[in-house]
Amino acid sequence: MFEGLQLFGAGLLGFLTFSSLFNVAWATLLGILVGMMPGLTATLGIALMTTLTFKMAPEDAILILICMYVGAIYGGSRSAILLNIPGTPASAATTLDGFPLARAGKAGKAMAIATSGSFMGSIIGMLLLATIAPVLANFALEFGAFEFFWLAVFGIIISGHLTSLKDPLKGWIAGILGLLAAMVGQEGVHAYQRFTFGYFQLSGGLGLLPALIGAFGFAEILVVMTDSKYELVKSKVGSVIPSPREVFRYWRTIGRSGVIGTVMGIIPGVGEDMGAWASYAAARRASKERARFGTGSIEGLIAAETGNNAAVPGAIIPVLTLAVPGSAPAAVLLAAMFIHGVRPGPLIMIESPEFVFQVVAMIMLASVAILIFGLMLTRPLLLVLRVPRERLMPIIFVLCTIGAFSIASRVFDIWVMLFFGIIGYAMRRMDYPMAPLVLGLVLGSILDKSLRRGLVLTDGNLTEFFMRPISAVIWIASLVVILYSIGPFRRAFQRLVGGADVHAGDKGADGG
Amino acid sequence: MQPTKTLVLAAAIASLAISGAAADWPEKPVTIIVPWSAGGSTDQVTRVIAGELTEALGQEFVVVNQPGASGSIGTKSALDADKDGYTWAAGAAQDLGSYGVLGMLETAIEDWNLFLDVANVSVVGVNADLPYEDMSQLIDAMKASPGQITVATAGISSAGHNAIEQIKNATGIEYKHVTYDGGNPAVIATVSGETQVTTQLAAEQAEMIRGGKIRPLAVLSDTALELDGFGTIPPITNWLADYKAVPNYFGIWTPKGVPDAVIAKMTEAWNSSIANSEKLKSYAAGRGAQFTPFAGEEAQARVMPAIQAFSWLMFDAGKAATSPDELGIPRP
Amino acid sequence: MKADFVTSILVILIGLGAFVTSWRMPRYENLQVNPYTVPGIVPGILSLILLLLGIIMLVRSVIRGGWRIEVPGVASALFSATSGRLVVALVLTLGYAVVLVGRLPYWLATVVFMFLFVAAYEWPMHANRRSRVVSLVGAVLIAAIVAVAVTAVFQQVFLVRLP
Repeated sequence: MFEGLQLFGAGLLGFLTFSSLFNVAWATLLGILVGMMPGLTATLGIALMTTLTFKMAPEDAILILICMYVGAIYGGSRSAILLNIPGTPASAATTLDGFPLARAGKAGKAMAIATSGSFMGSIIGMLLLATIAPVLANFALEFGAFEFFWLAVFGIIISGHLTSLKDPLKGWIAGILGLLAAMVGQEGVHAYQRFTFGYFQLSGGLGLLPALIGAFGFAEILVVMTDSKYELVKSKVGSVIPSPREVFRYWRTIGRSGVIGTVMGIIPGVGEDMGAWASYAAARRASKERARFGTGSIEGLIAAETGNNAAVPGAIIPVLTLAVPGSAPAAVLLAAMFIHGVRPGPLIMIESPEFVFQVVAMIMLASVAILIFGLMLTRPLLLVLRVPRERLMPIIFVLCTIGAFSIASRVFDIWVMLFFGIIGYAMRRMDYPMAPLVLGLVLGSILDKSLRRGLVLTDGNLTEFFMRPISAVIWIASLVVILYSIGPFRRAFQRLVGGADVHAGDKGADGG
Repeated sequence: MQPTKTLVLAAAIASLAISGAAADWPEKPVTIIVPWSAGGSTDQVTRVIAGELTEALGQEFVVVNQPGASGSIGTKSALDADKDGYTWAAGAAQDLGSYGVLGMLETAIEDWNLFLDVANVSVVGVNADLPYEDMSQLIDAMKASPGQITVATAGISSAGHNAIEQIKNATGIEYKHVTYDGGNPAVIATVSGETQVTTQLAAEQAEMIRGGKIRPLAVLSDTALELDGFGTIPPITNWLADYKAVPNYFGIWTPKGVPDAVIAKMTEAWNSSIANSEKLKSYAAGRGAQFTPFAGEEAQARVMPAIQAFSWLMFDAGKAATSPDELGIPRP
Repeated sequence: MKADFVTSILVILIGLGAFVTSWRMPRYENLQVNPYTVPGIVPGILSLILLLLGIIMLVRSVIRGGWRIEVPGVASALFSATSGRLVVALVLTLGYAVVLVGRLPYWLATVVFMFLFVAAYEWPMHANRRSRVVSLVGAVLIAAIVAVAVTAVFQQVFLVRLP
C-alpha cells in the first residue's frame, strides 16, 4: 500500500512539468469538445489521437489518450443537458433529468452539478483502480455467457422502466425494437445476413452512433421545429460553481454510483452507458425524492454523471491487469498501449507497477482538468441557449449529418441517422422513449451471442442460466422490476413491506 | 465510332491527368480503411504502419475504422473508391482472398496490390488449470470424449476456427465449437474457464501466456515460436508431421488500376522504411508475430496457401457460394 | 389512447413480420452445426416478446375504447399547423442530407441549407421589408460562418474526408 502511494507520488510528480500539464489541458479540452458534438465519440477521439501521438514518448501519448477519454465521456453531458442530445451514448441517462432542469431555467446549475458528479465519479473509480485493481479484474472473469445474457436483459428492462415511468410497457417495446434492430446484418456465428433483404449496406448492421444521433439529435430538431411555442426558459446565469453543501448532500448517491459505475466499466463489453443506467436505477430505488426522477432531479443527474465517468477508470482496470478492454474506447486505449510497447496484462503489477500508478496519476490529472474546464465552460456554454432555435437547429443538423458520416466515412450512415430520426420523432409523439431503443442496439449483439453461446455450452440446459450466483442476482432483479410495474403485484409488495414512504414516493411510477 | 473515339480520348486524358497527379503522390492525407473495429489486431498493426508511412512519405496516413460483415464492408469501400492511391484497405490476406468464395464481395486476391506487414500464427492454448501438458495429451482427451472439449474461436471463418478444423482433419478428433466476438474475448473465455481450449492467434494470447493463465501446447507452424518474455512454443509438426502450416499474412492493399507511380513509391517506402522499422519489429516480437515486409509478386505468392486452405475448408463445409475452382483457387 | 391502439397494431405487425423472417432463416440441418447456434433463435424469441407486448397494449387500449377512431379528429390532426411545420422541417433537412450532400461540394451544400433553413423560418416572423432584409443578410452570414467552421474543423482537425 505504502509502496503504491510512493509510486503514485512519483508518477504524479513526473507529470508536473509544463509540457505534460499543457498536454493535459489541450487533450482534455479537445476531449470535452469531441464528447459534446453529436457523432464524435470517445472511441473516435482516442483512435484519432493514437495516430497523431504515434511519435511521442509512450507516457506522453497515453496521458493524452486518457485525458481525451475522460474528457469525452464528461463532455457528452453538456449537449445532453443543454439540448437533450447526448453527445455520446454514455450520456443518454443524463438527459432524463439534465434537460428538464435546463428547461426549468437551471441549466447552469445542472451543468455545475454534473461536472462535480463526473469529477467525483472519476476519482472514485481511480481510487478503486489504485487499491484493488487485481481483485476487481478477476471479477471481470466471472462474467461468462450466462451473466452477459442476463445483463443485457436487465439493461433493457431498467432502461425501459426508467425512461417511461408512467407506462413501462412502452419503454420495453422500444427496448425490444432496439434489440431487434441490432439483429440486422451479418450475425457472428454463421455469417448469415439477417433482415438485410439483399441490400449490401445493411449487411454491416445499423450503426449505433448514427442511430443515436438520429434518434436523439434529428428527432429533437424535428420536435423543436414543429412545436409552435417552444420556449427554452432563459437560464438565470446565477452561480455556476456548485455549492459544496449541495453536492455533499448526495454523498451516498455519489459513493454508490461511483462503485456501480466502476463495476460496470470492469465488465468487458459493457461500458459507460450501462454504468450510467445502473447507477441511475439504483439511485432512484434508494432516493427519498423518487417522484422527481425524470422531471429534473439533481440526485438523478448526479447519479448518471457519476456512474458514467466512474466507468472510465473501471474500464481501464481490466485493460491494465488482464489486457482486456472493459469498453469500446478502452479497447482503443489498449491497442495504443501495445503500439507504444507497453505490455499490460497479468504480469503488469510485477513487471512494471510504476506504469499502473502512472495511469492512476493520469486519471487524476484528467479529472482535475474536467473539473476546472467544466466550471470555466459553463458560462460560455449557456450562451448556446440564447441562440434562437431557427439558427441553432440547422447548425445542430449540420453537425448531426457530418457526425454520422465521419464515424466511418460512409454515406449510408447518414441515411441510418435520418431513418432513426424520423422513427424517433414519431415515437416521441406517441410517448415512446428513445433511450431503450438505443441501448437495445448496444446490447443486442451481446444478448444474441451470449444466449446462443450459453445454450451451446450447456447443450440446451437452461438451469445454468438461472442457477449461477451472479446470473441469479441479475435475473431476480429484472423480474422484480417487471412485477413491480404491474399494479396488483406492486400493491401486494407494498403491503408486504408496509412502508408508507414507499407508497408516497412512488406515485410518479403509477402506471395506468 | 465517333462516341467511342471520344470516350477513348477522354479516358486517355483522364489517365494522363491521374498519372500526372500520381507523380506527386501523396499530396493530401491518405486514408487506410481498417474494416474491423478500433483496437483489434488489424487496427493495431495498421496504426503502426500508418505512423511509419506518415514519416516516410511526409503526408498524414489516416486510419478509418469501417467495421461490419467480416470486413467486407470496409474492403468494398476501398474497392469502390477512386483509383488514385488515396484510399487503401487493411486486413488479413486470407479474408481478402476468400470474400469471393464466400459470396460476400466480388473480388479476388489478384485484383489487389498487396503490401504485407506481419504474419500471425495460431497457437493451441489451454486453460492453465487443466492437466494437459502437451499436444498429444490434448488430442487423446479429445478422442476419448468426442465433442465434449470446448474450443473458443473468433467465429466461423476466423483464424482460430481454421486452425482447429485443420487439426480435426489431420487427427479425426471431434470438439465443441464455441464462438466469440473476436480473438481477445475467445482467449478471455479460456482464461476464465468458460472454455477449455483456444486456437486463436499468438498475438491475442501473448499476454495470457506470459501471465501463466494460458498454457500454450503448440504453434500451428513448422517452426517453433519464440515469444518475448515466455520462451519457446513447439511446432505442431512435432506431433502431426504432415501438418501443412499456412501463416496468415496481414497488410494493407489498394485495388489494381491505381497509377503505377503510386505503387512504385509505396514499394520503395515499403522496402526502405517499413522493412527497417524498429517500431514494427518490436511490435511483432512482442505480439508473437513474424515480421514480413513483402510487396508485389512475392506477397501474392506468400498469401496464396492460406487462401487455398481456407477457401476449400469453407467449400467442403458447404459454406461457399462459389467453388474455389471457378475463381482460380486450386485445391491445396 | 387512440395512438396506443394504432401503434399496438403496428408493433404486432412488426413482431409478426420479424417472426416469420426469423422462422425462415436457415437452420443448416445438413451441415452438422450445433442446433443452438442457428441464426433465427434470438430474433425469433425477440419478435415473440414484441408480439406479446403489442397484444397487451392492444387489449389495454381496446378496453379503454381506443378503437373508436373519429374521422374528423384524424383529419384535423393531419392538416394542423404542426404537420405543416413538420413538412417544412423534413423537406429542408432531408433535402440537405439526401440531395445536396454528396452532389455539391460539402461547404456549398451547407451554405445553401443553412441559408434556406434560417430564411424559411425567419421570413414569417418579420412584418416589414427592412427587417426581412436584415434577417436574410444575417442568414447568409451565419450560413457562411457555419459552413467554413464545420468544414475546417472536420477536414483539418479530425482529418475526415468530407462527402
